[in-house]
Amino acid sequence: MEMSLKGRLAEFDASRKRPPEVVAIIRRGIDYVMESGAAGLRIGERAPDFTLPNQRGEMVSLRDRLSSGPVVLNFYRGVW
Amino acid sequence: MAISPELPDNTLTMAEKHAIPIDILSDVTSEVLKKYRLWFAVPGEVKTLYLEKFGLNLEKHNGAGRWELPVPATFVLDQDGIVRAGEADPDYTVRMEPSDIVAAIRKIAGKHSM
Repeated sequence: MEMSLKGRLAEFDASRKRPPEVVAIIRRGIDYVMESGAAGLRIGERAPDFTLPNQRGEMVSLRDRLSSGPVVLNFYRGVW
Repeated sequence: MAISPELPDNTLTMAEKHAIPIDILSDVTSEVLKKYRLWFAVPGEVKTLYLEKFGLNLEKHNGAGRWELPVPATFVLDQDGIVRAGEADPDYTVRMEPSDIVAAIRKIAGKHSM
């Protein structure tokens, strides 16, 4: 069976072999975010509507996209 | 749909932008990140690490003064906009399993066809 994405990501992270002082800063950063309460929407909650520009500069609303079916929303940090 | 705090990408050609089959959305005010309770300000020592060790200046990507990010997250919404599955992990190396996303969509689609 093909390895899960979680497994592959864990393997990649380990392969970076970051120095312990760097790992410690990253770890404290993650703890900080955890304590800040940024935990996202809960299952069963209604997703707030929004309108944002897409890669072609067109304004896209969640409500409009939902009218044609279920939507997968992915929040990512950036292309870097 | 994919959402980031980054300014719109100007490195892609129009043809490339049209070839991407999903919406890549820019939340340049972080308003949506906040509504979805994913927003945080990058703490000082992490900012220093990014700048000095990783050569990463978030302001170049997000705009001036915007050392802020979302917790990476995935939400599967049914047609009423209700979250039926999802994951948001402050450990930014963790992502929702694609097979779980597909399973959640199938479950929603199954309910609607009944």
